[in-house]
Amino acid sequence: MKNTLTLASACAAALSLAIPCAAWADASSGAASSDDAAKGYIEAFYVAQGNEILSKYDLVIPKDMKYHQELDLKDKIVKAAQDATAAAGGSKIKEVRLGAPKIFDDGKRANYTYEVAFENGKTVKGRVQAEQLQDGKWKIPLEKKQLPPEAKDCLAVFAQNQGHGFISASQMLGGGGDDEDPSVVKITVPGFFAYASDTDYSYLMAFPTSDSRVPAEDRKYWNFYSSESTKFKSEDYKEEYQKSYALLKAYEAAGYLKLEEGMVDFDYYDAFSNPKIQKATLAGVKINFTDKGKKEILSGDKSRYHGLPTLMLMGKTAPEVKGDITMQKGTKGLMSRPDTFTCPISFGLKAPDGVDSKIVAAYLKAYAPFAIPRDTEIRLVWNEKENAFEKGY
Amino acid sequence: MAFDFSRFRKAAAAAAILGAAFAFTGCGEQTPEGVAVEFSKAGYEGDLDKFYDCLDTVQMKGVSKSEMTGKLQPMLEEEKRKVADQGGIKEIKSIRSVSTESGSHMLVTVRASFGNGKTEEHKVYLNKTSKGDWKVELR
Repeated sequence: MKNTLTLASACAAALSLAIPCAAWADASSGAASSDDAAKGYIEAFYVAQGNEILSKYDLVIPKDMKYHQELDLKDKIVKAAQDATAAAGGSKIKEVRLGAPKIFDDGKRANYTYEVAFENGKTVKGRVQAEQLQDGKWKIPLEKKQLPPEAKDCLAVFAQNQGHGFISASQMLGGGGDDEDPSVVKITVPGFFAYASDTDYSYLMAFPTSDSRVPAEDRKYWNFYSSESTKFKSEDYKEEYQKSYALLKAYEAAGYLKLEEGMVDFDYYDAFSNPKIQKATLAGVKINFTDKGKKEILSGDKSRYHGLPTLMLMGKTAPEVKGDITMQKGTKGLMSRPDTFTCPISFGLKAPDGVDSKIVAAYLKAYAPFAIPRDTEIRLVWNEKENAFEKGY
Repeated sequence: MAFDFSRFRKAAAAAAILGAAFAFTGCGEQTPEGVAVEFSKAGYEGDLDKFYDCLDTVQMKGVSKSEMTGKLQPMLEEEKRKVADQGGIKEIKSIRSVSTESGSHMLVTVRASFGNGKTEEHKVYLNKTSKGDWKVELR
């Protein structure tokens, strides 16, 4: 059901941006009834009316939110509506059928199931929740209650966050609330990536504090990277580097790569403290793809790898990752920030020919939180400080 | 093929933003969408002057135009070559735009269609200058 899927994505964005999803804004634009709010939202969502969908949500932009975050969030919401409209073939809505609302005890929230029939014969089903504003009008809260019965987008989020050491809150979107049925998320991942590049080679950079070849004055660059960008802790990154290097060597031995070790010059900008272009020299491993590697790994899609060994899993040699994430019935929803969260996931994993699957598996287990051996149960631990789940398996 | 802003961050893989202020000298239609499209077109076609003219250079204090264009030039030339490999640009249009509550920043998503039938989308962040012009923030 495309609608709930994309709503989940929008809410995931909100969550990852730490937006107070259920705050009220622009109360005057709310609908007179929960039925009207739900219908108005559905109509705006499935017949993309530009930014009108934004007005259907109870969306508050905190004053301290950076404008990039605000723009990204809004863009995700509008894109979700565009995608939903496209999935419906761009057809006009013939009819919106709302199920009987399930009113919460406080009388201020109403859950609906709905079915939208389009003029081209397509139909979509979904669920939506309306909430009552303080002035008595109704809007759609931008929160996780729009549950995805299937959510392949979730995998993109998993993919993007692999290697970061934390599973972001948004990844767990879709968890059932106390009143919801278990939500099963079907997963298929063709591979993963984090950073787009378009060159024929890339670099694996050494962690400066672990490498005596790196001038001490250059270590600050990684400090910036660590503290401002990905919040890596030094030792975490050192370990990742070592495992990444081991994986690269395995791929080299199998003939996919040719590695060159040495010092690497690169440019960087720190727009927040010093926007001037600067140069740094770090120890690194230049990763060159052999013809075999280009053929078997890059698979003609060089725009979706980023230079760390995870790129090896792209293209034809990507692991087949399928599985279910089953949120336990009664599990508290994401907004309530549970202390623990359990979801059984099963995956298949395929290493490219000539590469020891154990090495790949070890890397994935360490840095791709979702890529876990088959039938492994993972336990996620909420980290309040990081606003994310730690991988706890 | 990608008109890949991330390349400006290159191997650093760290957050990177180019910026700079520049008086408007002809970066297309002065709507955010128009500027985004013109900026993208300049990027794909390797038009360094127009590409630079579209940039918001306010944040680039201490970086000269020559220094900046020196950095941009090889990247744009490479983009131009890649576009040629794709059969050239067939169409560039904005497909989505959102604004901040303040109205001083916008995000425009641009879709480019190539001669070989492929398409790609990228995001263009724009800032409204004190003169009311829209300029592109590379990030």
